[in-house]
Amino acid sequence: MAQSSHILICRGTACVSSESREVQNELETQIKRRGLEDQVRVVHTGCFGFCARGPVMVVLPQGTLYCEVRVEDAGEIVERHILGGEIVERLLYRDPKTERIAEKMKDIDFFGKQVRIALRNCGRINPDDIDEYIAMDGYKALGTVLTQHTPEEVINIIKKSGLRGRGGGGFPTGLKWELTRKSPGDVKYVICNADEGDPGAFMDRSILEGDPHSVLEAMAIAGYAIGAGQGFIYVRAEYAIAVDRLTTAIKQAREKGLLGNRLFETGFEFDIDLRLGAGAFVCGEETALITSIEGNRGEPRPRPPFPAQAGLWGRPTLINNVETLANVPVIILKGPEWFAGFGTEKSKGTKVFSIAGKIGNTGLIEVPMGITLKQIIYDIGGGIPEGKEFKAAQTGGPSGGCIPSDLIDISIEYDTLLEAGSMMGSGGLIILDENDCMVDISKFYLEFTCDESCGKCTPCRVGTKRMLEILERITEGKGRAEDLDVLRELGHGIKETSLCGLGQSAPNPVLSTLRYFEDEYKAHVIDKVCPAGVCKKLSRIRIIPEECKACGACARVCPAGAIKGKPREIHEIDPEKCIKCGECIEKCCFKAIKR
Amino acid sequence: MTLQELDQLKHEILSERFTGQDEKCYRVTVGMGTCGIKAGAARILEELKNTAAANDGIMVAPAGCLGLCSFEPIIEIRSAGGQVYTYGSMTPEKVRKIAAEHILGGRPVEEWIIATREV
Repeated sequence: MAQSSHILICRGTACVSSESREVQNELETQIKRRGLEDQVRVVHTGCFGFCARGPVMVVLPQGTLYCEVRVEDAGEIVERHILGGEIVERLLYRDPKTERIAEKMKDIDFFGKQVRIALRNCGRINPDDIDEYIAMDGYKALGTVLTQHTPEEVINIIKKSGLRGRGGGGFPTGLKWELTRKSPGDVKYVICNADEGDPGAFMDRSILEGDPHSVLEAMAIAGYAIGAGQGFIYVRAEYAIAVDRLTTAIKQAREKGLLGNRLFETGFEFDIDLRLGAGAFVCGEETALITSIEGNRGEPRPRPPFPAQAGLWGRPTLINNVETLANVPVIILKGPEWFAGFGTEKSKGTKVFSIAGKIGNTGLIEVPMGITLKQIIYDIGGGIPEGKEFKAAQTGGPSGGCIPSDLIDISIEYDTLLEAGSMMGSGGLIILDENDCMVDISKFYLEFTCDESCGKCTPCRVGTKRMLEILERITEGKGRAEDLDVLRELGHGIKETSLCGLGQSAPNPVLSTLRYFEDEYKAHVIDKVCPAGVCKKLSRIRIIPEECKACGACARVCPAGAIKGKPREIHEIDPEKCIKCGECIEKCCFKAIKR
Repeated sequence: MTLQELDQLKHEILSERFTGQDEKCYRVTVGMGTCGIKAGAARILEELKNTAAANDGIMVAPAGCLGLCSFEPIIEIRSAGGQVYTYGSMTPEKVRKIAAEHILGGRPVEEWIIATREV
């Protein structure tokens, strides 16, 4: 034992009634028995405010918080924590909702590692009140730009910042602005792409709900830079709250004279209107989005010409994603060097991710580019619940792929993710653990793209369907030996020949899981087994006779009545009746039931 | 509006709502993103508005999502000194206790704090 310890034990009324005094006595006895009186002091304190989990104690210097400590636990704490230096996990606080373990009080390191640029105002100001945005330096960047910079200077600031598109592709934003500015034409448009559609992703929705004015201000700045007087926000109708707040924000900005004519008493005028999408995933693709605003069926068209040359109604059009735009006012105010100070050589600034799946803190985070996947999962996300093993992270939604556990130290950047066979995408990050089946996951994403394919080009319309049929076959135990090769061949074919980004990226979830989890596919195809136990037709639950104590607990929870057995008689599962829900596995105290 | 007028407006709003000098002034925001609303933030907001209506120096405002969706409803209490306390998993009962002890009594309720920061 290197340093001396203090144990603070709560002796508030509530903890005393749950025997904290006895626990303290026992701790002192245990410490004395090991001759540690001089190094360890037990101090009783007033109420910690955590009475529901009393008796509560904190071990210093580590600050470890133990809850519901019983007299019997005292010996273990002294032996393992004080002498052995390890934490007695079973006594830590577990968040009842997330099952997440908190080791210390206020141990939610959720905000500490984040850098909030695009999310700077989200959750801090009232989005329905333009005054609060103004108090946070809102519209100052627009005023500065209009009165002190030429459009070319604005473009240079954005170029210098290194900002790249946050919607998925990662195209340099400043360059896009410059191309649109240089396109000939006296009428140009700015479009904000708020057609966020990846399953499990809600970055843009949160920005629109929490800080709508930052997007409006950035669109006006972009309008000035490229020479446009009108902007459109294309947002899906099911984002009802975002639509409401945007409507209010546009109205207030017009009333304050921050949208409309003669902004900041210059000759510049700019206004913004909303266009509601019906929720088709393909409309997030820029040419399909433009077609949809024009009032036609949302289908993509070949590029070139790019929107910067001929976009909305054939005019040069700048399309930027919500998060990209939300960065712009800050870059103007704090300077491109400041922004470029975050991130890595090729990926500057920060990225917003929505983290979901098997993770403690589900939610929305903004981190500097170049952070590792491991830091996101364990430092910010709070790790995998129930002590399960991390298996893979799905990034980029239906267009992205999976990053396996041995690449957990990968630096999160546009290019490193591409190399790993995935992509940044718009920022969906879904964490998978040992209980997730990779074949099933890629089937899920393919079902999604199959549904959402607009049907215009054959490789995407027919190809994704054929791939899905093969995956369905595999998960039902009817896989054929040649299936994996066919999947690869089809996948590459679809990528190379589809018209738009949807088809070009649709095979990614399958190809990346085939790359990293081929064994799991083979287990499905050859051994007809789903190792994770997800594919119901490929899993069997059985009771190991030597381990079974015939207690009957499993039979009582089985919703299908599939377990036969009497007291003192080894139980058995009827495979015909079993629905593979796994309730019995959870219930068995003797771990006698296995998949 | 000119840039000077914008700046003047900014400072007026700041002193009115964010940096009041009186120690008893509090600014309370409630996360009202989709996640917050679904978790019951509207009732929390109402509860706090009742507190604000009955007492001076308390400003209550809805805000967007702070990002920690699994702890919604979330509220933030900012004191005149610039200390911000974030509370998670709020219920009307918990908020009533926080209103009584923290907002009116000046003593933060340790057990439900999920983060603190200075502005």
